[in-house]
Amino acid sequence: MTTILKLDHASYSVEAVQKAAYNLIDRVVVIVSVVGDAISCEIEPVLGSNADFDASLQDFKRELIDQELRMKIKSETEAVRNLVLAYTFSRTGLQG
Amino acid sequence: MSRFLGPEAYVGDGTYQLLPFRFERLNDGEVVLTNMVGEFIRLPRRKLEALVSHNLSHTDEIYPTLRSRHFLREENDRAAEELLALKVRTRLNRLANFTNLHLFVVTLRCDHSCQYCQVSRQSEDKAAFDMTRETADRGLDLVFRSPNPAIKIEFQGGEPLLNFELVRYIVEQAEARNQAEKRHLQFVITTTLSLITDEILEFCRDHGVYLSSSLDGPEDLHNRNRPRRDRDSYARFVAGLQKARDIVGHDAVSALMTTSPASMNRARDCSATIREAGRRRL
Repeated sequence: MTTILKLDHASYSVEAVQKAAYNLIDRVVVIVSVVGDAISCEIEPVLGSNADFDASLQDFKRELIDQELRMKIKSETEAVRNLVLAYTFSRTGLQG
Repeated sequence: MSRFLGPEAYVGDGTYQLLPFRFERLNDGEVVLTNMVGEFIRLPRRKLEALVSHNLSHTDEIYPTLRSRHFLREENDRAAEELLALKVRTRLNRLANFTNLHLFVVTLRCDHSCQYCQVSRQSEDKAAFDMTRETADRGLDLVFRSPNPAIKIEFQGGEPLLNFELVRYIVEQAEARNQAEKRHLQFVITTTLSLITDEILEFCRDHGVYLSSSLDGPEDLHNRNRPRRDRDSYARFVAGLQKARDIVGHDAVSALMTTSPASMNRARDCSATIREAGRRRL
């Protein structure tokens, strides 16, 4: 049983799709490829897994949205994060 | 004249910046947010989306908490980054001392073949699986680069006593270096005690080397957990324990119990054996 999910590359990044796939690695195997403007996900259940495949697909879609949100937060806060870390390690003598 | 500006001066204009945080879904409707300093907050998923898309109203009941716990900052919150940094620095303060525990796996050889052992055991006669003096010297370089005032060197294997000459070398080299370093230096050998000799124990006594061993329960269980060619692991442990206590000192040897599936129905037996052998430190 294999399901193909096509995603608009303008809405999802490959990194977010890969992270979502990794988070469900115990239940589904996802092969990710980029075809034109689309990201194609070839999804099949892990052999021997008792998980409900339809439920896993739903979780994968929700995980995609979560991962995109995480990417957005990371991108917006990266500069502040670096600044905080620079403050944190200033005057510690730990810099190389 | 008032010392403070009126309350209206402290109300933001509704614009805010996100500060770094992560989130995990708790259930369909709720998420938990955590940040760099371990602050956390649970909130409905829809509020997370509103927060990230900068649509969360500053009149929302959750807004002051998100602000005070450093999940967002307003433009005039000048101290937010400094406060976060101070908290991160406090949390990571212990790292300045790096680690005090350093493990030397002096050999992969072992006289036991325990199923649960994490080491890819090699047979006893393959000296190719012993650490060399050159590697040990480089290991000691690394040990003394740690700024920690206390240094503990633990010898592991395989069975470290199969390469005791290197253990002796490392202890003596570390002591020599410590003449100048002045650290609080401790040594521990993790061993089954099966190969212990008077000579080794006298060395341990003279150099303050502790012994950490294992007692898995009654003789049959211990021997099953710790297969040895002559099926005598338990007898060797008991003899070694007594000898170690006599020569190095009662408190210089400790033991842990490894629990395997075979131990599951033997709790009382294990407890009795350990009480009989150990009293305080087993």
